[in-house]
Amino acid sequence: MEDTSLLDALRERAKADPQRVAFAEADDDTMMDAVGAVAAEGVATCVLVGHADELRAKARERGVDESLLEFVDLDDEAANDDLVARFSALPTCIYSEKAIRRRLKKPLEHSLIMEAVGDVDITFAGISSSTGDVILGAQMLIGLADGIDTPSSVGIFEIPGWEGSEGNMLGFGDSAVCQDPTPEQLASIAISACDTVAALTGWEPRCALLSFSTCGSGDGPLVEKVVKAREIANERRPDLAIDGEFQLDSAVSERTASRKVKRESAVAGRANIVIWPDLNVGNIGVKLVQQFAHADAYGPMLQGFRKIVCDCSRSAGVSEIEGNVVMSCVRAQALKAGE
Amino acid sequence: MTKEELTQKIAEYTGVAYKTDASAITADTTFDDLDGGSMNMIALTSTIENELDVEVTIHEIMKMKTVGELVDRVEQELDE
Repeated sequence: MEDTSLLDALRERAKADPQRVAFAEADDDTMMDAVGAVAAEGVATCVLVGHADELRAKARERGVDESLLEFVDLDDEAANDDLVARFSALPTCIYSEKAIRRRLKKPLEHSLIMEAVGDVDITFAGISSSTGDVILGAQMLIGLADGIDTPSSVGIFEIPGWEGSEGNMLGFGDSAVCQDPTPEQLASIAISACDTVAALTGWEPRCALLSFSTCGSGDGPLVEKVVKAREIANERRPDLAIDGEFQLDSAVSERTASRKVKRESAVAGRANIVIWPDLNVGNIGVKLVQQFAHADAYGPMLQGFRKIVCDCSRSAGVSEIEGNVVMSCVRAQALKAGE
Repeated sequence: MTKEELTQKIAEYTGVAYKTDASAITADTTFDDLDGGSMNMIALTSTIENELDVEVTIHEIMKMKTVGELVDRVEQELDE
């Protein structure tokens, strides 16, 4: 990720109302360096979850000012008793007290439980946990947002030389999580993407469900799935402009849309978010844009949970982690504002 | 608890988790037949953990083909 004007603007928004971020992997050198950068900048309140003595030692070793950090010890029995009581009282909790205590011994799950009860706003991991573990943990302990059937991911392209409805930027999803979405899941991806991109950019979302067909120019089960997804999305969230099925050019080119889309659409030709029909298209599509158009991409960011959970890449460096924290904080601010 | 009783219990939990008729679930029922997603597996594993105090991970279930394999896995831990 490059340090561009969007990220600079997001950083200022994050600093204006710092969110509480639980770091479940601060025992890692790179993660601790990133925590140090985030804390020193005042982007977020960093809450380090693990074995507190080891984390304090790691902070000293990496030259991070401990006074800027909060430490949560996995073995603090009084704090754990309190967490168990509050977490088990949540209507979304599906675990017995014993099962909760089992999870409190693991930093990632401890962090997610803290987030579920509101002690932190974001859980951040991924440098030593797999994406699958982060997603499963979030599903188990945070849960999916209302009206959402699947976790997914979203990103924002910055495409040099392209002029779309939001300049050279375009939201896209899902390129990382949901392999072969059902119509319900595809609708969920679109809804989540609208909310995530709107939180980050302030755009009025115009979301196109992509296909090889535009408004019935093709047919068959692949087209039917996308049409069904549009119907479900429109029913679940009539406040959002989600439309399709559109080919990519019908979605983002007004000239093409004027020829191919013969009905009213708030999205056709002016889409600022595109939704791939499956992960094959999503993965290949992102790589096409990156390879041939030399685009940068913000993300992918996990979405679809009740609260914000961030999974960075295992190879992420300090600046990438800091950027992910910034974006997560702005999303958490928006989520609170919408509650 | 006999193997038969355990199978009966796991079938009940599976029926609730996958929102399907438990009486139709046997040891030979496959997870593909049940046609669920990760949220169904989470519901199933949490019930097993809450009721039988046996922690089976989602990763383990994802590698299992049948409900019978899950019963064997739970039985093994109950016997220990």
